[in-house]
Amino acid sequence: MTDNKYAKEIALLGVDRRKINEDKLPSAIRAKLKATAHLKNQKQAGQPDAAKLLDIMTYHSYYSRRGTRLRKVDDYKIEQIDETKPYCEKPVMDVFAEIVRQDYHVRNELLKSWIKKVEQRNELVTAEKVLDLIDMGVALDKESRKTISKIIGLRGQQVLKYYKKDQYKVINLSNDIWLEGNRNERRAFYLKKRKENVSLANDLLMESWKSESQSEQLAFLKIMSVDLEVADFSFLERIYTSKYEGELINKKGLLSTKLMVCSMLARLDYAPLMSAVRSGLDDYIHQVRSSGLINTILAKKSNIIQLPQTQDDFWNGDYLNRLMGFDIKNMNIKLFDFDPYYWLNSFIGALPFSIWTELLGRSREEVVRYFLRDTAFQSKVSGQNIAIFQDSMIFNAIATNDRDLADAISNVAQDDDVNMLAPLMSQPAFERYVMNNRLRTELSLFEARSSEDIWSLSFSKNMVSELFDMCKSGRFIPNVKFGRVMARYFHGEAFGYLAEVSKAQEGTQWYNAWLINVLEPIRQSILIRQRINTL
Amino acid sequence: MLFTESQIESIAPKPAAFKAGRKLSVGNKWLVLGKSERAVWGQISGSGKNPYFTQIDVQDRAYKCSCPSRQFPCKHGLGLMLVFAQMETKTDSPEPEWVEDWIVKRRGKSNNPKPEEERTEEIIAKSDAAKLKRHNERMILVNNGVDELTLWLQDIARVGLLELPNKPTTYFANMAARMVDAKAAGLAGWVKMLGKIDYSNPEKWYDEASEIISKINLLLRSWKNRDALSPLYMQTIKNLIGWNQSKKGLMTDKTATAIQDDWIVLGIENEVEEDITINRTWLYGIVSNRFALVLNFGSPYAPLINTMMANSVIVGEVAYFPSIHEQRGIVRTETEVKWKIYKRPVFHDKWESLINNHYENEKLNPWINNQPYLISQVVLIKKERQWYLMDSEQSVMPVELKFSERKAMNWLLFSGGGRVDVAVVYRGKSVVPLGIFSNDKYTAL
Repeated sequence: MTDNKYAKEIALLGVDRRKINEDKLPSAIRAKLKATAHLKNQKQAGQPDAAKLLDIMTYHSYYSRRGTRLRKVDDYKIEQIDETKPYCEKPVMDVFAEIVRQDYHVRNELLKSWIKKVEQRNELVTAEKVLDLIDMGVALDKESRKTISKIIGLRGQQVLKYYKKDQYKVINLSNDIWLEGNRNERRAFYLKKRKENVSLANDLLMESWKSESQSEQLAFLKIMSVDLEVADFSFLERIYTSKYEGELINKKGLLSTKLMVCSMLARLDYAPLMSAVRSGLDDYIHQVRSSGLINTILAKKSNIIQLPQTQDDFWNGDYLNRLMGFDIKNMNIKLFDFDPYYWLNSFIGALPFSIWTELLGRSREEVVRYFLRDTAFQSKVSGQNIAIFQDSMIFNAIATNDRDLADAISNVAQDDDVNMLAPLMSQPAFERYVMNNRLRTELSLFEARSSEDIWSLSFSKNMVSELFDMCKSGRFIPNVKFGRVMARYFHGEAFGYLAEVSKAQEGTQWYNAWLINVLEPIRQSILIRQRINTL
Repeated sequence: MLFTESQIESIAPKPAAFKAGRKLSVGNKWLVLGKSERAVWGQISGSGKNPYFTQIDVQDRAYKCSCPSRQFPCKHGLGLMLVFAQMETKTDSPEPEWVEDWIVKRRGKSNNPKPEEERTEEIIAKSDAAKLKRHNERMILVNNGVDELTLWLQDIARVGLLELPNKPTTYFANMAARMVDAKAAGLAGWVKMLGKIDYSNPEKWYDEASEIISKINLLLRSWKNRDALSPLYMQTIKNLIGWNQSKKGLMTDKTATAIQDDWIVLGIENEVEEDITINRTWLYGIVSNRFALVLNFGSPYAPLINTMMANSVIVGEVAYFPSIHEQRGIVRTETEVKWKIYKRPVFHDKWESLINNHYENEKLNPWINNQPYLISQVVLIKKERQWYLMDSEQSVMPVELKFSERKAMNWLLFSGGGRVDVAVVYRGKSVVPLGIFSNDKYTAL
């Protein structure tokens, strides 16, 4: 046992169990004990052996601190990171400081605008604010976090290896991911490849297509459907002709895939498919005299769809399954009294809406009104009249990102399902929809919109005056959530009006809530938005 | 701009206070805002009927607010500072009466200290006798306490340190309380430290316990041997045992070492122990190459007051409390605050040199702690979940575990992963990085 270990051993076990053998102690400690022996004899009381051990520990601790050698690290390669982009100047960082000070309910949207602005300016956030930005970015969406990791520069990206790394985790989309990655990684890889080159991405997908599971095939087709391009045509045609064309399919998963493929081919106007569809539908388009007094006077005629009440050569499950991948049977007899209506509904969901304007020779708005309002397409369920094609039209608008269709539907119908079109509607259509249907306090509708969809001046004013009326009659209490929505979209030029009418309400019971939850957040938000715009 | 946000953050008594202050830093939350050459002020609505009156003496960095908060500066003071931190320009306006009165009162107080009452010989003799009586009574208490603690330590040595991990927390807490009763708060602190060791860590607890026991033993032995010590050493031992050092006394003590210099505020650390907040501010004199540690204390009954801001350079005089190794001091006079460094400080070039310097200091004062040093060209690296500072010879020094992740990240952001000159506090086996020097600027982490 070394001298040092001996000192530690007796300290651990204590003098009751181990007698001190000074000869075993390090020589320096022995010498010290000897030199101070006279002091101990004079002053020490109590337990001499224990006191001696305490002295030994004291010397030992002192010497061992001095004897400690520093560890060396030879294998560490220092990488000095220098930024090439300029840092944001003070006015830009001042806006950030202003955003940080805002309450959470207006902060995030302003922050999103600010980071976009910094990205546009091709600048970097100053070092002392990087961690604050990373922290705040955790509450933002994935795209914003991506932008943040760009504008914090190389040094900031280095920090993300240690700090909040899970929240800012970036999947390294190398080629290996395609072979070995999990489902999400492979989908992200395909999307990334599509953004680079659609044809090459589809070549890659084609190689593994047969080995992909049914659900994976459908997932990749959904990705394709979002930004469908002409370059996707050859891929889809190959899939369609090799497996689905003319085939009768019973399996539900496979049927969904076929319908998806056919639907996309229809959007690309794939001639072999669309000529069969067009000619089939065309047989059921008939011209009739338009209804209504003026139309009668003018002897105006219009095209309508007249479907058989029973199956025929075109409207039959077997044929339409082989052609488009529709269900063989009417799966919703409660809503669709006659089978052909069920398949027409499937057509409306799957085909580009332009085909109906073309076949019926009417404008989009007229076709939408026709499908939603014509009594032939209404069904009574639980005592209520239901427009049987409404869901399919909504589905189509969302799947094909068809803003015009969304606008047209919102002009005719209103219910929770139509509310789903809110993110898609154009600004005038959205405002009209909210006003016509008195949906001014329907928060989820507003929250679904993009933060860039700023309200028009007139709508902003209308909201203020209507909400005031609701406050007065006790139908609305100004709350934080609503303040957030208004602050996000309120038109800057309407603020004067808002301030003026607000002032007139001073002293009312709900004024304080209005001031704190609505007026102030809007004011701050507008000011900051203006500052961001001028950067 | 009066102060930067990070400087204001450095004087906030708690992170939560700064956060709350930040919320109040939106200009329109203030009913009144004003600024003159020597003060900024504001009125803000609170929970009461009347608004709070908040004012800051920007020349002496003093704060006053009519709110009932015990925090100092309170959230209103911090918010007001932040409001002005964002303002590029704000024209001066005449001070309202309540601000003017306060400033005049403050200036009057510091320029014309209250004249001491004339003391007759009789009063002096009476006072000296009372002082001596108090001293003798305290000596008896301390001597008894020292004897009791000596026996307690010897008991530990008798049964062995292996028993320590099995001891209940009351074992240490009771002895610490006994030391407080014996008016030996310093000794109580050492005992508490012994009780706070993480005894579940088999690799570390023995070294830590052994070192603390050694230091207590050395202190007790020194106390018993005090007749043979020099007056300065005796003073040092008394301070370590628990005798208070009077700031007020030091302000007027002409015999104390006092150095006029430009003092960089290297870093500020708050440590909360039970109800007491210990606030440490480390200073470095650019010309004198001396360090100073300024301690402030806060409790629920006495707010923590620290007016120094990290990164600033205080032009003024620092006086040291008498000690065998002068470390703790106070800022006696302050004439100006700067934000730039005009002279390159003196750095150690490697850990070996820094540690040798520390050993020299330890020879003078074996209980030395919280001593700052400057070292050049070190890089922050992470190995096996532990941060280290690596010097130019690849020697590494562990960074104290409680060094926050945020500070480490700030280091990486400021240094870009490369070598930098830094200030650290050496704590025996590890260091706490305080800040980074770059050109003419110092940035506290």
